[in-house]
Amino acid sequence: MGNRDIHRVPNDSVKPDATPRRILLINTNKANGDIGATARPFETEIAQWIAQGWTRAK
Amino acid sequence: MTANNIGGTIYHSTAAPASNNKAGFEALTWVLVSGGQTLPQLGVSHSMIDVPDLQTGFTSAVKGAAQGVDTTATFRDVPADAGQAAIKLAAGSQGGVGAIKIVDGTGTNNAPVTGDVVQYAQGILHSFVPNPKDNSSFKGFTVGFRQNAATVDDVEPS
Repeated sequence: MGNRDIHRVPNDSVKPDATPRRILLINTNKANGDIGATARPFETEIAQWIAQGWTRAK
Repeated sequence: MTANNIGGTIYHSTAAPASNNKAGFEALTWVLVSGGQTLPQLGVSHSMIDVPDLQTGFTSAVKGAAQGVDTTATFRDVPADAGQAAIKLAAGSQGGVGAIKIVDGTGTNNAPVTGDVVQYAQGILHSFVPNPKDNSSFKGFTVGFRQNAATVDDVEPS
């Protein structure tokens, strides 16, 4: 008999999240405003925030 | 029919966003500033560069740089309001960096609900001045807001 795997349908039961996760960040750069101010950007944009002086909340 | 502005509210963030776009502003933490009477106008003004021409005798213009407008917001005094305390503190601080969100909310007490029109702007809060202490003025104050980037129009996220 042939390889049965080729007859399998793709598994679509696991779908990616519709909206990216948000991460809590804290401001450490006075140029951005008050030190200690919080923001919750999308995980996909974290790098830009961290580059400007925001850090992940511990 | 043209609508009025009644029901408009203003929110303040003590920080500026990492990017001047919807995602940047939606990430910030917003606090309602109660007692708004006149909210800041948002917008930019462009300078013009004059280009004279000797042959035609006509000075035409090309568009120069933009700068954010600097307008004044007025508030009646609302004791123990966290938003008013924050905006006074920001206006009196050395930096004054912050962001504002102007809301036309349809929720309870005009709170913004998903899909409501909002406007965002970042800039400098400055020039806190209490109302005159006399027998014909109510308690309140004014603060200036100088916009430092273009206005971002958005709707309240879910």
